[in-house]
Amino acid sequence: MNLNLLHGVVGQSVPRVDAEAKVLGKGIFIADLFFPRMLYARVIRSSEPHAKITHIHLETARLVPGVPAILTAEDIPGRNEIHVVFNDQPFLAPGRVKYVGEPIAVLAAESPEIAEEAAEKITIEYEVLPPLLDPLEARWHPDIHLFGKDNIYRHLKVRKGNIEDGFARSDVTIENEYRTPCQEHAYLEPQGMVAVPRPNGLMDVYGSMQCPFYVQEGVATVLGLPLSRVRIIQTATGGAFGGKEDVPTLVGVQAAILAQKTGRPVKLIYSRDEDIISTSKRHPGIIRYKSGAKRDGTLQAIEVEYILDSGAYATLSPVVLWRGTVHAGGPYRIPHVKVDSYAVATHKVPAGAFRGFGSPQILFAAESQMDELARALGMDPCKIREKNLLRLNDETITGQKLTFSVGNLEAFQKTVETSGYLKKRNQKKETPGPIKKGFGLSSVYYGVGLGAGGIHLARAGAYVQILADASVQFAVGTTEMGQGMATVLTQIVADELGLPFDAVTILETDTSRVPDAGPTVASRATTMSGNALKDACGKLQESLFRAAGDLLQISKESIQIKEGWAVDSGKPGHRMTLKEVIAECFKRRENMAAAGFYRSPEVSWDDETGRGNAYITFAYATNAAEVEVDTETGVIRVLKITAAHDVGKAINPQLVTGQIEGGIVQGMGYTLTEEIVTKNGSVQNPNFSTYIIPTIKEAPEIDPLIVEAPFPNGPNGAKGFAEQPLMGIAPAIANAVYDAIGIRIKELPLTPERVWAALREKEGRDKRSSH
Amino acid sequence: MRISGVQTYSPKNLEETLQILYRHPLQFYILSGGTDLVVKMQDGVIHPKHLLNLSFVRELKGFSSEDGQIVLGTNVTFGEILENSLFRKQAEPLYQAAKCMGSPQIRNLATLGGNIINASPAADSVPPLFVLNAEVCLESVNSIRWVKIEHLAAGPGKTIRKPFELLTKIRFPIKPASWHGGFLRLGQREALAISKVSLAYWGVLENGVIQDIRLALGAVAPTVIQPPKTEAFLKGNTLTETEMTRVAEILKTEVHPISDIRSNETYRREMCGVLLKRALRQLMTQCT
Ligand SMILES: Cc1cc2nc3c(=O)[nH]c(=O)nc-3n(C[C@H](O)[C@H](O)[C@H](O)COP(=O)(O)OP(=O)(O)OC[C@H]3O[C@@H](n4cnc5c(N)ncnc54)[C@H](O)[C@@H]3O)c2cc1C
Repeated sequence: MNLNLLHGVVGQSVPRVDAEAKVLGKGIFIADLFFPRMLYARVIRSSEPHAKITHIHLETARLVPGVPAILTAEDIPGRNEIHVVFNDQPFLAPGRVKYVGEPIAVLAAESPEIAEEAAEKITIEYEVLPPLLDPLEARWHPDIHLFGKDNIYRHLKVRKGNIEDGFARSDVTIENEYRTPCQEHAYLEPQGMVAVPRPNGLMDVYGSMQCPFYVQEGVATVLGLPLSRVRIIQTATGGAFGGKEDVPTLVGVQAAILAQKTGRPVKLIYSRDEDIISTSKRHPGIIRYKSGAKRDGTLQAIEVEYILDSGAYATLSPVVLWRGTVHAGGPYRIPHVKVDSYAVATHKVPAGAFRGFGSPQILFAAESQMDELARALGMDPCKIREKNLLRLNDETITGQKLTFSVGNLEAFQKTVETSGYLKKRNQKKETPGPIKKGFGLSSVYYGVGLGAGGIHLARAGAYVQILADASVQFAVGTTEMGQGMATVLTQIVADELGLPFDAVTILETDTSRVPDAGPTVASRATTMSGNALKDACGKLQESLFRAAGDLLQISKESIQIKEGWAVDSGKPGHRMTLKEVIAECFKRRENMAAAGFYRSPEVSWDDETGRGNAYITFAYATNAAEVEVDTETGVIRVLKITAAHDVGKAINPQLVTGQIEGGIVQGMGYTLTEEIVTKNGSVQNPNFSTYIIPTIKEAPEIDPLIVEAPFPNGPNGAKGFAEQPLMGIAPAIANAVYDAIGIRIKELPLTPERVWAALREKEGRDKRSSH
Repeated sequence: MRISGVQTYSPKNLEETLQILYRHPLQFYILSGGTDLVVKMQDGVIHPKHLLNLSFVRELKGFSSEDGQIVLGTNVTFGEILENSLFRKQAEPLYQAAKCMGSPQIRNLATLGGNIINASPAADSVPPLFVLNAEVCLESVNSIRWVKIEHLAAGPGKTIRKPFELLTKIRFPIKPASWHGGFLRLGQREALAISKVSLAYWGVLENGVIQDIRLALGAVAPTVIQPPKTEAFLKGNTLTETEMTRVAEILKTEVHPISDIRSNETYRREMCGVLLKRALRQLMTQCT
């Protein structure tokens, strides 16, 4: 069928659909939700990183008036299990705790104050056991077993070519060990849920989340309910960044089990420190990276060992590791590859999903190595990248041939040219005084969607309904968490149905409206829900075209619809409003509601060889950072970041720009200041006066650039976009710091203390060698 | 921790405030801007049942400049200090400290008196008040005493204030226009950060020779400190690079920093030297 759709709002920076509510403070977040007779929950947590629970004293807490329920592992009606990738995580610790902050009991009380009072009266006796806190010690530990026999959640491999040959052919090899810190999501809104029991054993759960279908599964499992009796409704979600992927399941069940027990609504809102102590973070990484290249800069081989400190339960670590492993080489052609990666269990709060999902750690190493190779070869870091960047029909390290949508070189060139990188670097003068300037680059690529690591979830449902007044409601199973999905999808639906943007309304995400859409992660919502919506809209277009053709007395193939009009493509003056067309459809008693579904294209992965077509497509980016280093204090100031991103199609350029800016600043925090510090497994900086995220004062000048290499399977050519802006910021800054002061710092964050110590050490070395 | 069951008393004048404090010295926590107090309540560090709110006490607000001195009410906020050119011109160290303190929201609430009585070694207004030779007024129903700022703090979070005494005023002498000063600090970020090291200076230079200078440092000892040997070395000295390097070394022996979540001992000590050199260079430009 000739779908002559014209572009209306796709490609335009229309304002966010939720902008007004948010600016005016009218958004209903979970803390704003109240129900009659509502109770308030508290979670009682482990104070030990590793211990046997010998006794839980609940007696005094039970005496506190107004505490209708206190529940421990023994009171669970269903299975004591939170399924993420494996089933190793209990909902409440059954006799043994494995991290500080692990939930042991939950209680509900008439007020938050009573809940707190009762929680304080619960004492837990432990038999303390020795914890494993260092992943290198934990891996293959002979006596202490957290997971399996070796404390390894997953070991992954990539094998390509022949690594011995590769290094033999290399004129230079560089080998280094890099370390990256534990990063906290620091979303504006802490975790929270409200569970509302309904008649007939139904349970509704409202909350802040990315993945309602995960919460649904968790609630059903632990409460012993069929999925059909559990309904999850997402409330306005104030940021997530991966931190609301698996964790809300735990929070939702905590509220729901108390609601089930008491028959009353239960609200649970985490405090900031409770949130930081007990919820997932970015995995600390150890990356041993050896790279080899020929004299002309051609990459020959990489050999990588990648270790992720994954914490006490597997949660998402097996798939975080997978993404990291697949991205180990960066966006380059590398003929000989050997990667071994390990997700290692330790007695710490489980690490999980965080923007970039295992790739920022390894890319910090990979992109630092590129600069080190360039230096060893006497090349500009720009030239070595350009030479090796993946181009159309090249192969990734897992053997995936890139046959379309490769905006790698274009993004690279756009950044290099726009930033004036080469000119600035060449004109750089030795400045007197303590402040030194530097310029650095990083190039990254990002496998869009879940890829072969999560293929079983790579589908999405959608629902679209045209109403009698020519307005439209639609629903999807993915979520808006601030990233802009609701706006982008509204744009897509408006154009698909030829109606104005304002005529289209997105409904809140609710598991009862559409089939399981999988998680809202991996930058997948636009492509997955976008395609599912197109499928639904396609069904409605048939009725529209038929009615319009009849009314205009032309063949339906000649009809174009755009912004409220049905037009005769042969005779543009010959037209009528879609309002009339839709009225006609209703008169004919046409079905004006449609369900849509999308299954993403096949991908593949072989665990043994580490080869396969890992992702449906890749997005590409290059960052250029301009920094100043104060050599007396070690303070780094990021002056400017230029970043070009190939997004396939920018459905809303302003939202793309917003993602670039936000990702850069979050990446800057990761690079310069952010680090969760633990002592005997216990978080030492669970608030924002000691866990230091950037403020607007640190935010550099940002030049966001958009490249569009259309993705044939994406809605309107779009690939996913959200994580990429953060991924390459650390190496871009670290490379700029090297350019400024000639020091390679291989451990993040680049705190003034660390930079200063490195400067003094170099001074010492320089002095000794000049004697 | 949730704050609940707290009763707040908001007296309208000083007399009434001092009376309440005199009668129930131990029951009441004094509330000014609340940017330290409320945080501690929220964290469950303290559990006040009664708060004595100073917001409506007119006598504690405002400032004046007369008889060669500047007198500030304890409830002058950092925001107010920034808004007034008097401080920019005649109390540069204090003005600059106010500028890097907290964020606009915090500066609009936080008072000078609260910063002083909170007695953090990292309190940003205190090193400037040291170098400005400030005194604070502690008043009760039947007593009034002026205490030199350097005698007020007794340790982190501790002062010599008696429970029935209220800090009411802060004063310091106005120096001739030839005096210049400033405030330098290093924090974990540019805004909303507690100082890792801070340094205030106030001095006068003639023909390249230091006539007089006062220095004070924050976050490098249990209280804000003044480095007497460093000051003595500097007086009458010319500021050549060699002299500056020497005096930085002296200063490093006068500080006693610790390692904590924000920084480490070595770095803090070394930064004292760096900040001193920067301060002295800045003073040279200010005095020419
Ligand atoms: C986000 C944030 C950022 C901050 N940044 C900085 C910073 O950069 N630099 C810095 O130095 N501080 C900073 N602070 C700390 C705080 O803002 C300051 O110490 C502030 O000056 C305290 O003043 P206040 O009026 O809020 O005091 P309050 O919290 O009201 O009181 C502080 C203490 O003083 C007592 N008190 C108050 N007034 C009197 C009085 N008249 N007589 C006797 N006792 C009294 C109170 O009982 C309490 O113990 C920050 C705080 C926050 C929350």
